[in-house]
Amino acid sequence: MWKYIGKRILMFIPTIIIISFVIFFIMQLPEGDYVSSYIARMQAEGEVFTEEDIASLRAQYGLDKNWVARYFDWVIKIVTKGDFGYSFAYGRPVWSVIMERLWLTIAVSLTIMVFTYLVSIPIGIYSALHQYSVGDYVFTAIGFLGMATPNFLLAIILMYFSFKWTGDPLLGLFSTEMLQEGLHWYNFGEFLQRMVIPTIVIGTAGTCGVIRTVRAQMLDEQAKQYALTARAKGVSERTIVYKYCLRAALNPVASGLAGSLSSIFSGSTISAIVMNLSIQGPVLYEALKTQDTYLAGTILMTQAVLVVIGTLLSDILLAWLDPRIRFEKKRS
Amino acid sequence: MKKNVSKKLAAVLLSAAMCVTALAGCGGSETAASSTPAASSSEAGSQAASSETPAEPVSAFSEAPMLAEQVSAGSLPTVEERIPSADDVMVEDVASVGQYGGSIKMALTKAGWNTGKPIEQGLFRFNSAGEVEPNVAKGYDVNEDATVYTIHLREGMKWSDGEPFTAEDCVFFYDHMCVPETFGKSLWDCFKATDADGNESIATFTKVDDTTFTVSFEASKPNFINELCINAKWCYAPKHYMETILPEFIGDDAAQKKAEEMGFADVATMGKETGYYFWNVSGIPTLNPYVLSTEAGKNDTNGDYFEYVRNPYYWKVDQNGQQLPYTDKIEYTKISDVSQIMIKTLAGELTIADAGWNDIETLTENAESVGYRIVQWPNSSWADAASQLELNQTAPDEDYRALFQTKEFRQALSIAVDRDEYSKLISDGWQSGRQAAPAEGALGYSESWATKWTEYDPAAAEALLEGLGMVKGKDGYYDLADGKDFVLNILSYSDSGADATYQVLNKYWDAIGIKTTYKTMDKDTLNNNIISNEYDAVLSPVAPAETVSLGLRPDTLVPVRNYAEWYGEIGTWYASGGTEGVAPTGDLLELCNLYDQLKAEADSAKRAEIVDKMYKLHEENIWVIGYMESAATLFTVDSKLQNFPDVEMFSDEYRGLGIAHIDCCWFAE
Repeated sequence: MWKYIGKRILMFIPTIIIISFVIFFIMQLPEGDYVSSYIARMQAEGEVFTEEDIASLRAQYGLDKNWVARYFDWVIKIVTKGDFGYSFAYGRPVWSVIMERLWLTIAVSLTIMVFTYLVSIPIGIYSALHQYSVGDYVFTAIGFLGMATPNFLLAIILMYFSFKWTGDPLLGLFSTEMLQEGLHWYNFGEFLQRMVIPTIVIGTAGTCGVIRTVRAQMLDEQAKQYALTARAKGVSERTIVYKYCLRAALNPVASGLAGSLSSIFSGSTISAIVMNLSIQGPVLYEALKTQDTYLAGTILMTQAVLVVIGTLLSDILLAWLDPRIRFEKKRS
Repeated sequence: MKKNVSKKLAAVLLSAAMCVTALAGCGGSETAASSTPAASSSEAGSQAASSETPAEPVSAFSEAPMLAEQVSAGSLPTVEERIPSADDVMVEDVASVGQYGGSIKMALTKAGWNTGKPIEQGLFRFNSAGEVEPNVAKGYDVNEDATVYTIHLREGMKWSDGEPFTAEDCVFFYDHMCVPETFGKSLWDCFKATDADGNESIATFTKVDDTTFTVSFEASKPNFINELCINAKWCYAPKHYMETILPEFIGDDAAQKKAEEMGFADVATMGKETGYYFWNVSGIPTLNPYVLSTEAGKNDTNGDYFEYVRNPYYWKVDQNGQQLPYTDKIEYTKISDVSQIMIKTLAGELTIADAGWNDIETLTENAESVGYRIVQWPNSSWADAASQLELNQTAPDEDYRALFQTKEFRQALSIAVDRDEYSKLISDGWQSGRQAAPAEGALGYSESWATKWTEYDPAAAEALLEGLGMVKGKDGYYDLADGKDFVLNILSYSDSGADATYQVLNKYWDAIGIKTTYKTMDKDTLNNNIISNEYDAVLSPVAPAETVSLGLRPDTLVPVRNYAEWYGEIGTWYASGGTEGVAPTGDLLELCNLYDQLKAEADSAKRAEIVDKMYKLHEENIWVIGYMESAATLFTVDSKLQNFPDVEMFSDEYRGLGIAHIDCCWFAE
């Protein structure tokens, strides 16, 4: 097992090198660079730039070199100094920009993930145990609706009702007062209140998939020989469902965690923009739009690393969860 | 309401035009510096100075309660010690004398000029009549041949940290920041003078005493103060602060360290952010009414929330001697999309907010219940931006280029459109049809220009096309003379408004047999297309035709560099001194030559003549085709906010919201 994990970790290195190169290559494909987008923005605000100003900006940001040279500069700095470069737009080191929103992003994403699983796994089990019942149909319908409705639309609808009923559209995770005073125990309740819409909006989108997976898996497992045997031996239905079938049914859910890890870091971009959530997604979006290369590159790289790590973790998790996988490994 | 706006606009623009010539002319009538600067300042300067001094000089001063507390606690000097001497303090004759307190709340997607313009304090400023008036400086003198300007500052004025503000700060800004380009801007044109032989030289700043400095040129520079207002604007920097960060004073290594300490990538970034966009960096002394907070969580302009708090050393008072500003703070909250401004406005969360005409009905409906008023400001646009069509005079395809350069083709596209119907469809009748031309009353305005080629006549349009040798093909569309298919590929950027206008315009163009395609792209991508000259025509240009005066700010209307869509590569040609880009011919060449002459001309009457000729060339050629007048710029303003002007000109020259003087705005109960 350890040897296997070690081998997988060694495989990270070439994978990440290739990914970083591809990311950098794709990011420089669109015409123009950060300077051209910066100038477009400043011109819109009335500032005048001469050709020399533009050239000196390019030189300042190192954009006068070609992208391969910039890529190697970047990589060498990461490897030798742990320096991921500077964000042009923020004028600050990339990591300080990322760290600023990191904890909030993780908090929001984890809440949403917990919400998704807490809601969908019980519903999946219920639907499987009460197949074709009214409850099954209702939950299925709601789940599909949640999946089919674009998140941002749901966000707008909920914000509209919030505005209509309370006069506050609940834009953002913090009210202005909270931003002024900082987050304290006395306003934590309001923060939780403001988490409701994002949680529902982003959470419901994920529930449907999990509900359907759990339901299908449970139905499969229920009909399998071991369940039948257990039932014949008089094991209580509760034990059969929760101790045996559920454990097997959760395998696909566990392997799905691989993707979640990177979406915890930076997910739900469009919804976050609509709801004005100050999490990582909109930063990535803005960085890609303005060609803030190192910021976008670092976020994408981190996501890629998290996917790689997530895959490993979910493999380990699966092995731990499912003896069959574990034993197969041992035999080989 | 609309009538009023255009009348006021007329007045504003007329006086702006007069001011240009008046200012330029004053040089000849003055002699060397005198001891009473306010009285002997230039015409515009002394006019403004006299209106600034009320009948009864202000002798007793008072301050905001939050500052009075600090004074009695002993942590702040008294108001008399903080503001300039009683003779020199700037007295704002506010429409209604206010009371202290409250916060001005605004929302934005990204801090840049938007946070600076409302609080920016130039050495001189434009007033709402378009004249230059004293601001940080209390006046100036100029010698006979307009080569030496003597600028007078206010006695006892202080930076926001309490350090004295003196002539050294202005000389320092020029000598140690502008000339060595520490903030990434090449030296502005306002500091360059060209003599009769075409030799360019730069200005010299000399300190005379603590409140006086001179700006001298080797050649005559009649328009200096005006250009200064537009180019360098404030023209000062806190010497005592800058000396602690600039490499010239502390060495390269220490400066690099300092930059890293402040969180900047390198010395150049630090120089730019602290030297040019200083209002967005916490801890830099300023002369502005509001200073970025130094408290954590409120001081990061990239953060979700930041605020500007009142400057205790602000140097303006109202006519009753109350130190300005009235309101305690300006609060900014970050939004991730501009559409959220509307949501926040309706939720009553904003004091001053941008608004769009497409939301006008919702805004009007909710104005009373939420408690805001809708304010319309005219702007300096030649026509509604989304109704401006610019044909690339240097289109990549030679045949297209030749076609676009003919007046007849532009005329055909212009008269093909029924502007009455079009403007009704696009603006619900809020705006009316017109040609792209200076706004009514503005310098260069003429009714014949505003209505030129606006008579709807599709038959004549087709005749014009045929006159150019174009032949109608089997598909009903005109082909080029050699039978090659002609398709006008129109570009625009997302959210430019052209999605709507193209739908309508296309029908008219289609009707006369001009086939068009339309594509929107990201604004940056479009900008890249423009820079690389890969476009034929743009609807709703990135740089739409607009200016308060061609002589003051010509960028969108004279090919000075690669910028506006209609002149394309000619701008590159001009900026490179003729080594790159496409050389102009005919009237375009004439336009460039006139601009050269304008830069070198000292005589104000001749300058006005040259500007007039440049306008005439535009009128003659209609390089920018306009279909509808520009809508007024809309704001929603909290009903309780007093002294926010109902009508001002919204233009960059007047610093956008800056001309509203929000340091004079206050909240009624």
